[in-house]
Amino acid sequence: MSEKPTTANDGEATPGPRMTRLGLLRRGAVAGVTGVAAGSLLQISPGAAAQEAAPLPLQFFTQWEFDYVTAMAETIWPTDSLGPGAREAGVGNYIDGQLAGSWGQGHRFYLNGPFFTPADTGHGWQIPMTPADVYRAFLPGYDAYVHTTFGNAYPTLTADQQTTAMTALQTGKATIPIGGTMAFASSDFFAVFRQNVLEGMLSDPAYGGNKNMVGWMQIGFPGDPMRRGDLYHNYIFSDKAYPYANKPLPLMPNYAKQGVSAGAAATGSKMPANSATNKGGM
Amino acid sequence: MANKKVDVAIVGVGWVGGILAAELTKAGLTVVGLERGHDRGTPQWQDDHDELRYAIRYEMFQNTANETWSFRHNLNETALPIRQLGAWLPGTGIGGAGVHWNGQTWRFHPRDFTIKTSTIDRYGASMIPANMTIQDWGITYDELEPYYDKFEYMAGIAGKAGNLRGQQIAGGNVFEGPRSRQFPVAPPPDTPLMALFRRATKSLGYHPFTGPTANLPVGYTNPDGIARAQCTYCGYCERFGCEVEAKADPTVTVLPVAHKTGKFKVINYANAFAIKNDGKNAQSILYYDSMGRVQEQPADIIVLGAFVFNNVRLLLNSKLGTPYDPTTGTGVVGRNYAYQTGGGGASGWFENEEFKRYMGAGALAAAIDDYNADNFDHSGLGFIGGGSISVGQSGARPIQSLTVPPGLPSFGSQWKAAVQKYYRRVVQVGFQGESPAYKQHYMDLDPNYRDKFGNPLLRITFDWQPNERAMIAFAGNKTLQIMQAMIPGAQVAKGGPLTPTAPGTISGGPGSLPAHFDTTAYQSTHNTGGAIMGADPATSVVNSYLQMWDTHNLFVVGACNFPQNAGFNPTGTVGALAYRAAEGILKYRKNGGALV
Repeated sequence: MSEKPTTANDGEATPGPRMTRLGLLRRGAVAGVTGVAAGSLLQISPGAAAQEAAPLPLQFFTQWEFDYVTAMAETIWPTDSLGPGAREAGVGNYIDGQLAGSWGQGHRFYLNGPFFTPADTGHGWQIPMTPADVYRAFLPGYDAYVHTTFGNAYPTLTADQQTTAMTALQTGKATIPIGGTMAFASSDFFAVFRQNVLEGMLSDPAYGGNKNMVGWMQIGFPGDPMRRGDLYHNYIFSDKAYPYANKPLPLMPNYAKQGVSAGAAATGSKMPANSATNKGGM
Repeated sequence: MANKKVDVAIVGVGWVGGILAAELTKAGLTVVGLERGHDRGTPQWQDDHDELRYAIRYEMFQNTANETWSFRHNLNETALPIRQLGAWLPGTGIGGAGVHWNGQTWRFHPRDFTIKTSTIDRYGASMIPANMTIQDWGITYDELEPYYDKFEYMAGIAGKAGNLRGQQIAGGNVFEGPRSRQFPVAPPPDTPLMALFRRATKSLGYHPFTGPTANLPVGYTNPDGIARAQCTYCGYCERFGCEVEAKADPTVTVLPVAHKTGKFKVINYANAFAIKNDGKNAQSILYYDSMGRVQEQPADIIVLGAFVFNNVRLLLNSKLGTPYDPTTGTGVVGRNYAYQTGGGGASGWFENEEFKRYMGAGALAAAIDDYNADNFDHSGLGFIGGGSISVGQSGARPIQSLTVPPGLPSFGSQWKAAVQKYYRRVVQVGFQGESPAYKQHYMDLDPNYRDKFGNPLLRITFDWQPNERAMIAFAGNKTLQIMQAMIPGAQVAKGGPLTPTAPGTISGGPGSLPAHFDTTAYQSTHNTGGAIMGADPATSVVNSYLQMWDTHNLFVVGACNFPQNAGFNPTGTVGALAYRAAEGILKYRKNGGALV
């Protein structure tokens, strides 16, 4: 145990001086610093992510949140002998862009009251919070849980400890109130988070994740072969393998490598029709 | 000041609005269509192979921040709003859900239209549970056949007839009602996966056929002279628009025909909220324009052609017809809400074979109809109804298509290895089941929650019932059997350790439905009922021309007319009803009065 956690047990994130320091560090390097604790370095890909040039600016996350989420995402889709994981794919930047954008800001959520806890199952999201609100409120509570249980922050735990800590979310074993209530269970957060990680691994690189199309290549998804002029009707009815399954093409070639986080802009760009309607409220 | 009066004003410009606009303007009438969404068409879909934006973030669907529904499972619960889309995905914008659909285009069975009479004739009245309120449609299959035919030739539906004027034809669906002529387009060939399903089901004694599809396998020119190109099998159909116009949708079929007459006008960003009426006569549509101002569109004839929920909410908001009362079972508006019963499928993970699952078209499928409707003997089974069984190749977009065998973790290296191995090797045999109507399943106005304009949300009361649970348990055994025939020697996963030497793993067996209907997981956008058709004004809102019993110049058209839902996708039947309504409107225009 090298560093005291930066999160107080009352569940409040306390950025402060450490935040500034983290802000100066690279994503890969951050884990190196905070991960002086035994074993945690094994979680970090020694490859591309740490060496790349300029980090993308964060649109929603604080650096502390970004590092936390990146480490958690790496538990969902780890770097291993089968290929790069969430960190190298840029899943942290993907989620950051989504939370800053229309989805994270709840532009399609009905948030009118009254709110109350459902009597039975199947009613879904019933709290007056957007996805961005939920991430911000949930992470400090989870950090407190992780500290209490493992004595350290999530990014500095061993891979086995991280798996145990993630399972505690999935099963709802971790009791993490949001806004003083349990209306949003830790298993609810796990479901949203896991889905976001899959999106960050497998959506078009234009959204900031799936950098270099590492997610697509790992599962053999060809992206958008229409751009190649390579129409599927020449292949689908035959037994022959598709020659380009592991050579995917992105929607926008320029974004594939850079991982430019166009998530918010792209998601919102076809909104004018709806937003015109939105302004019509009376 | 009201807009200029027209012959016909329609709420909603999707399949129903588009078909009516084309047919009525061709007959010389002036038509205005009110559409809450924006204008759109093929140019917008040139770069839409983006799973995140369209399929996950719901680009093309109703924005629930503006307008949603409240939902409860029974009459004693306080309904909660559905705060984000989940179980169903209604469209918005020109073409409606007809733009983002898959294209699976069925005709309901002759028995479906006479479900109550047919069930009692074959099994006796005791076969129908006490609170089940299924009823005959007030129209027969034979009466509707010419309108099905019209829809299919307009849209260019590809398939092979299984019943041509009473003659059964092997290789088509031998359980279907008689067709007056062959499909306009021959079916697509089999993919290796479809061929495998066909061999497996044949070996079990079933009657496999190619699912009827609105995704053109070859180029086609329809009777209106509209030419469309063949499908590329890009794999982006449901939740996407078609960039090559191979998928029939209103924007590339009926709407250009209506516009060409010069007699059709669309008003976009028009949110209809009420029909001005004196009980006997509908005078105009009241709507909010793009600036939120109240506007009025008068017409001689008014058509509600929006999605199920919007049509019913408009009737209730306008105090048209008697609202349904679930305690007495009287009243009609909101009556017999039904859905589509899923579950009952089987999954198979092949160890050796790979399928190009990312290729596909929305309706590219092989199917059997042996366990649908009353195509099999229900004696002693403890349920009525059934569903279609199929294996589809609709395009496995990756974010939504990562399923691993049961018993494996859902994250981490072991899960990732399974994802990598099985993404191209997992297949599903699906079951799409009937949804009967019940006394307590209905729609009314919510007392607590309102939309962005301040109007009450529609409240839905619905849950799974014992009949459907028994049906799904039965179906699960049948789909498991088919999957076993598709992967001979496969192990059936029981949640324990898997045998690495087996040629595949199957998950299936008696199907089950959740404890309560789940509004969060996507199941189907086949919501039905609430403005049902029938032969008796005491138990239906509209007659067999979809003309309102009490208000003769008001026609209500769509899946809201279904008294209960069949084990097939609804669009073929919605299209047929729209053509039927067009004929009714022209008759009414000529003679006035009640058409039935």
